[in-house]
Amino acid sequence: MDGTTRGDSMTMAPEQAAWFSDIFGRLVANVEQVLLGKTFVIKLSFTALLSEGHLLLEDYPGTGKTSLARAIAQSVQGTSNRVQFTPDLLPGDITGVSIYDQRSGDFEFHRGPIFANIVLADEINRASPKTQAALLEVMEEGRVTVDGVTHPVGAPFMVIATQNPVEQAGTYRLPEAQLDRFLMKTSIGYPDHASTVRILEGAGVRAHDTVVPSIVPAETVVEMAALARTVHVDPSVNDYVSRIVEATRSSEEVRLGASVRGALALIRAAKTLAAAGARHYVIPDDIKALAEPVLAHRLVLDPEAEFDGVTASSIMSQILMEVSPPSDRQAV
Amino acid sequence: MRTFDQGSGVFTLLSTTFFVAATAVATTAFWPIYQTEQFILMAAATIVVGCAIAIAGARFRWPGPVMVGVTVATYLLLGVPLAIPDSALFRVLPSGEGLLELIRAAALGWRQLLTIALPVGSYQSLLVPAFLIILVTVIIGLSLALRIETGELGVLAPTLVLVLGLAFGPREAPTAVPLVLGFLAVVLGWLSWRRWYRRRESIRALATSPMPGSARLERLGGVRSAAAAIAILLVAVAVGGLSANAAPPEREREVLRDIVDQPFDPRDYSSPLSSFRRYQQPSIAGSAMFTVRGLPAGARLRLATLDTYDGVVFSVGSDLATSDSGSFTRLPTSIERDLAGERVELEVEISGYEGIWVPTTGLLSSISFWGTDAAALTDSFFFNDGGHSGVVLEGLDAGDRYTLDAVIPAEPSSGRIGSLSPGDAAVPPAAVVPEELTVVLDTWVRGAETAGERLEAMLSALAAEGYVSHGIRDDEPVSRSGHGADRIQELLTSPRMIGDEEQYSVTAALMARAIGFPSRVVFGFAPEPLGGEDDTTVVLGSDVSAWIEVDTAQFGWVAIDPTPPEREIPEEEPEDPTEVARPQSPVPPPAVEPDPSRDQIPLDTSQEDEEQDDPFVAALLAALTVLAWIAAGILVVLAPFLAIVIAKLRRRYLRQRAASAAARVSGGWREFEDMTADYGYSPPPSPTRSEVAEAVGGVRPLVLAAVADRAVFAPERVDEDEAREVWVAVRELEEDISSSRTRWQRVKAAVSLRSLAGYSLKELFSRERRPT
Repeated sequence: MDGTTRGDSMTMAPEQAAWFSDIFGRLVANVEQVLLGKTFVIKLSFTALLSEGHLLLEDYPGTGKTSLARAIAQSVQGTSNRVQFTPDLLPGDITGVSIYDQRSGDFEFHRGPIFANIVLADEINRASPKTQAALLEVMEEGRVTVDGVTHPVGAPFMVIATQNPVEQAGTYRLPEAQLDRFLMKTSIGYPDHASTVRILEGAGVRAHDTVVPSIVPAETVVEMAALARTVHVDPSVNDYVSRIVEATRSSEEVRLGASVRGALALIRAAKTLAAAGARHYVIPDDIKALAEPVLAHRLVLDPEAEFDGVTASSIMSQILMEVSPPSDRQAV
Repeated sequence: MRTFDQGSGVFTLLSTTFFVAATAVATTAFWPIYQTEQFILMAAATIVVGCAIAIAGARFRWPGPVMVGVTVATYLLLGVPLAIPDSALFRVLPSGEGLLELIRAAALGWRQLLTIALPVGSYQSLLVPAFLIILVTVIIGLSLALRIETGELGVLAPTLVLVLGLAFGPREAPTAVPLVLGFLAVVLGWLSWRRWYRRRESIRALATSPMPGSARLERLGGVRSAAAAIAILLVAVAVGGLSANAAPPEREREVLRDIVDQPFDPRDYSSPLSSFRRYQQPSIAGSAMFTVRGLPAGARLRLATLDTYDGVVFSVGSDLATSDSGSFTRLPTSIERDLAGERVELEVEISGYEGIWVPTTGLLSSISFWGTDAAALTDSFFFNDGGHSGVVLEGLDAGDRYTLDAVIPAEPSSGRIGSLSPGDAAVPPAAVVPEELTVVLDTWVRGAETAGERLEAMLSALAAEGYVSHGIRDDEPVSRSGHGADRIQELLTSPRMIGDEEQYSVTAALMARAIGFPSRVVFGFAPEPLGGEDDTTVVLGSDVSAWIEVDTAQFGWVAIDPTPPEREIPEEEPEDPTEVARPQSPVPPPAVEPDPSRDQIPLDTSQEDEEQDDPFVAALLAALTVLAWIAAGILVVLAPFLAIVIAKLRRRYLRQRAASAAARVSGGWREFEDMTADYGYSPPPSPTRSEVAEAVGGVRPLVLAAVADRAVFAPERVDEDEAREVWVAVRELEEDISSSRTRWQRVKAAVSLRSLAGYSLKELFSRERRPT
């Protein structure tokens, strides 16, 4: 099995992994200046960005979601917009509208807030399903079509959507099919004690005034995303992912397990995380670290289990305890 | 350090219940020793009090010195009423005398317990050792069970009780096997519960949020523990049963009382039979030895039972065989005699007799001494239930009085001797048998079919041909004293067979053995009845006698008097030897006389063979045999551990020689991972390499994990050097980890099964694959 050709032109080189990891580290450190003590969430956010995916944050108000989106955008010399979703928000309020220009006599397209590198869609579950669908379509296709004219939103493009887990009144819960379109779901959560004290020490500065220096141009981010796709994945790791996904489907507490799209998303994100770790190959640890953020929100729990207090996260933890990671290369 | 709440009420209650059950079962091992209600009371009270102290100690966290103090105080406070009830004031308060006895018995009671006939009841302070054992083991054992995390160690306490009970108990213990199995069942139940409980607590501690399937895991753990316990019990019964059948014990069961020297050794005293003629001396023959009240007509008084013949004297006890007659123990209360026979009560008053041997009759049930020396005599009375003879080390003197209860067993009438068949009692083989004895016996018993008939023929021949003379008075023919082989030879070959009870009993005993009856000589007095007023018998020196006892299948030991009746002794007629109808020493014509060796009763010649062997070589062989057995035993015990070590070495060998460099790298990692498992590191379930490395701690394991990961998951080919370096790193890490452990921890890790659990036997026995 050792004799087979294992390197090809499409595979990332170790030097490229080192370069990738260096920039990734600097980006994370940069954003950490505004979001203290949340390294893992920042890493996940950049992993999502460089995996060309979108991030769903389930968070309470005031945990730093806007700061995160803004700092990410500034770090990559990109633009950022924030949209507060309300029940009366219309699709056109997001994508933009064509307005008749009396002087030229033409319809002129006025771009909506979706035209930015990083879009923060705040409280996405407050908008009507129609508006949600419009946003999700843009997320999937990366372009807006109005009046038959297609406008690409640009690259890089990442939507950071948030949901408030407490208030349920007057909200429209995202359908499972649409949740599947988010690469990851996680939460920032409250900072720990030491970070809170440090935040309070810098309370003189308004959070929204903080500007972080840019690290790389937006084009580099696109280049990095393309590079991340070339990380090597051993068949045994694919097998591991496959076993995890199958386990979500066979679990008694789950009504609907993770889809193939979920498995693909997990591999894609793991490739980015591997490169971020200066590796040009994925190891089971990458899969383990990302399995919960990537897969948990794609599971539909059995109502009875949900009633017992079982959560998707706890099911994923249990599955990771039961499915043993590969320790050897798979026999060819 | 505690991983679970050991202070909860349910935990304490269940632990105590299991502990008390195990201790109660173990305590029954002491029952054959005591067999009295007082023992049950003592054991129950001691277990309850001990448990109370241990529970209080655990609850209030008493330190060691306090526990010791409380234990000593309890021993002093409860010891007298529970273990020496006769010394307790109002049955509950310890008396000063009782306390002294209690302290003395803690040190000396053990030996006393071993040198006394069983059962001992609540005699003197003999309950003290059992009281002390139960009290101390209950307090220590239950404290361990309640206080430390590995509370299973508490099981050692009842195990100790069981072992001591069996060791101090009687040689025959028919209940030992069911007792030990019952104990094993209780203990396994306890250990299984303990394991299940700990597992459940660990799972609960791990799962801070409700975890799916944790209840199932708990149940699974319980079922698994119970199944393992039942499996162990079944295997123990099966293996025990099989091995007991396949290799039955070659030697008899031995207990401590077999090893401890009995305080009275009859071999220290000269054979009483050798002083036989002394009682016939005119100065003594006529004087009263002692008076007996209540002796039935015809009953004989026994002094000593002699079963060992060394060619010079017949004596008591022998070290050649486990002799029934040689082991004397204290007679605590009484011996139950539930056999048919005449019950008699004798009153004996000593007058002229002096000596350690106590005149008794039949089978003794109880004896009590009177008079000024009564206490000293009681204290120094020892009894041998095999030979039914008693001694007082103080020695009997004029004025000593005692009463005894005895049973005179039913015996066959003299006409029925022919119908008897030999019993199976063990008697030490005679060291020397006079040459002529078998030849003479052969002519006497010719024509007799059965052993009983031969015995009868032998006795009647003795009666017909023998003449009695003590050789003391002037009118008596010469009759040499003594009963050595030469004297017996002389008796059998001289023209006139002349001797007295001393010679005839020895001759008859040796001939009975040659016929096949286990036999022994009894030395005592055969008084003429009605020597004094009412039913008092005055026993004179001339009443001294010796007779034999043969063991029969029908009646057990049967007394037979082989001495011919006293009659006139004919003049010596050397010129006509044919008058005496017995064989001549010259060899008779072969046509008439068949080959003696053909019809002769076969004698046990094994002893002679033994004598021919060099004693040094024999001792060396015996020592080597013992050593070989010990080595085999050790090997059997160590075999499972050796198998584990060998399996691990084989596994390592296979990994180091795997086909590809990548496989050798990942094999190196697995070797490291298995070692950490054996040393007790516990990474999370289904760990990746880096998770294992984090559980071990330090940078080097992490580096090793990264190297192994790259070898396995990276697209590049692994070169040979890398594989070699990985193995070097693995060895260094192993040394690091093992050097920080104690020797015991290293041994435990070496024989740990944890890392072997996931390794298949198939893999272990697979052929290695070298790279091509």
